[in-house]
Amino acid sequence: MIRTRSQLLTIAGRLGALGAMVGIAAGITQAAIGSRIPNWTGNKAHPVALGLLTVALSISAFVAARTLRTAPPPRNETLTAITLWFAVVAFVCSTTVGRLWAIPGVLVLTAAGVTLTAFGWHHFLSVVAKNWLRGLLGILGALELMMAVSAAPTITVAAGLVAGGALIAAAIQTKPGRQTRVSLLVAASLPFAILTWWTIVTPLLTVVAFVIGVAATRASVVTSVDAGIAAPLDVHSVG
Amino acid sequence: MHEPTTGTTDDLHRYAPTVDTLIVGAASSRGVATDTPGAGAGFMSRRSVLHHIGLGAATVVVAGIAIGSYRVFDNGVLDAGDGRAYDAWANWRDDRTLRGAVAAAILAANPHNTQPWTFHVTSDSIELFADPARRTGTLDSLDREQRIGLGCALENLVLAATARGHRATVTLLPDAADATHIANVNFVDGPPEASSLHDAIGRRHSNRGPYTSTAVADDVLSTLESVSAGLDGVSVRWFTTSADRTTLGALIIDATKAIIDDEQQSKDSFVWFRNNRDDIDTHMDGLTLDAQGLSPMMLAAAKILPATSRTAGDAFWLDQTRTVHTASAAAYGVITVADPDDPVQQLVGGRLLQRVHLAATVAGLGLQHMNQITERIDRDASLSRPSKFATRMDALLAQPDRQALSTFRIGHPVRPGRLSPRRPVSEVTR
Repeated sequence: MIRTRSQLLTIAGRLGALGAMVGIAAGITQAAIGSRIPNWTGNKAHPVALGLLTVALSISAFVAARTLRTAPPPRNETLTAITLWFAVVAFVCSTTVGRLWAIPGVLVLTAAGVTLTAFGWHHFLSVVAKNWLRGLLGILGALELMMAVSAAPTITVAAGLVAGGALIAAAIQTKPGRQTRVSLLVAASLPFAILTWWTIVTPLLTVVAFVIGVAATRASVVTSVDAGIAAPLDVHSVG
Repeated sequence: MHEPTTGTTDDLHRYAPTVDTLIVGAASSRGVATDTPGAGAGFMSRRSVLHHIGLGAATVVVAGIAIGSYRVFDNGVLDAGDGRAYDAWANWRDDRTLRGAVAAAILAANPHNTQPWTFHVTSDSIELFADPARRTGTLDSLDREQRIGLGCALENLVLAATARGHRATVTLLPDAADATHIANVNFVDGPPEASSLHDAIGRRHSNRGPYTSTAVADDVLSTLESVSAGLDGVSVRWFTTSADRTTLGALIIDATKAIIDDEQQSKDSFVWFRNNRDDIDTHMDGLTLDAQGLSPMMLAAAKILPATSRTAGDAFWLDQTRTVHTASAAAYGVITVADPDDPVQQLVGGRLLQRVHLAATVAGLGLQHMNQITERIDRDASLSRPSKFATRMDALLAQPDRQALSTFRIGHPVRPGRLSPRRPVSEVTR
């Protein structure tokens, strides 16, 4: 019987790594022959781009899975981030490679569940609640990335990838006294919003991201002061 | 089951909830200690309440954006006209062999983008067949539009073969026992002859958007008319005066209403509407939101919002016909023939229609096919009942020996026409 967290994390790591490797194979299959087996790959308009995206996300899931097996075990914040990232990868890839994601999707989601079990719901919820605004900012960044991979022409795709990456970086960088940096990162999403203004969604996302980014940095500052913790130590940031 | 039974003290320290992790937010930590009476009994301060309301509102907004973003991703809002379903428009010149001429043929105008064709390619000939599975039912009761569309494809085929150095000889309906065998096109070597019409094949799109109020110059109309050279028995009749346009526009609007009121015609039309990107990628045919001539913002909103019902789509179509299509038509053109029920005249009329559309493209004009009147005429004929639309159209033409085969509007477009999906050559050749 499994009794220790480290054992559970080992299992989660193995499941996640296995799922990620099968996911990489699924992504390569989509990119290479996706248009020839549309019933299996979801009949996508851009099989190569979606296949490569699947490979990239699967690699990130693999890295996350490997992190679970490091010694000493990761902090709760890191475990929370890994759990959420497994879920994000499982969800996004379910729309990129069709039925090919069935097996890796189950494996990665199971890895997320086992990781969550290992460090407990209450810790998970505590970390999530503490970093709620930053989480929302990260979600907005992920949404930008999702839209970017479905865009055309290449300049729009590039602007979207930069925008999504910048918002995710802003979510990670939300430390006390970093408002200027966060503002600049959010501003990096402006070109994508301008290039795709007619969608309404992307300009709205940028505005909301800016508001949340500012609010997140202020919340971090206040929390640090209230907790009597010096900003440079910043125990509130995700590990 | 989460209790650690092994591990170091350091492990325990890592997993133990710290004071820090119990602080949910800045406001709650402050509020408990300060500004709320009875805070020590577990009440939330005003500031804490506002803080949580703010978080909740932000979450709801992000959730809404997430739904919108997913629709943008899933319904191809940012890649209209891109992807496999549209590759045919980019690649039609690549293959310099006879098979490459088929790549041009499949870009022809055709009813409801049904692409009702199949091609049999040999070393020195191409046979064109109708695909009986690709009909629009009661909307084209007598297959008039299908044959016109096949005539359009035939014209592109000949233009492309000629540009590739193959002189074409066309034989229409070569097999009396097989009505689906539309044409044999035999080729002999000749000098490559490029033409402006050929070069326009990849730029020709039906433009259902608004046109400007600028009139189409008479010499431009004459140029469009002149492309009928070599096509016997077919001609173009223009309606350019305000009175004529008003009369023909009213007839088109009435015919549109009649189609909508005819539930079977409405259903047969709706079958070919591709409401989302998945359908477009799966079928690579049919009418799409992209090709409806909407403004960018309207198009994005239409794609992001849930798909409309048939009846809502019909209402929108009628509204567009009334407020955009007929209201902004600079001129109407009608392809006329002696007998619109004669399959040969339908095919030749289709060739002329394609030439006119290509010539309009060369001239920078927009063109939209508007066949509601003839769709009602044929529907009435198929039900063996008199057609008020036939009577009104004949009165408008005022040519006893000519009848309308097909109708379209032209004008200077406000925005360019968008691509429609196409099945690849590999799917339409045998």
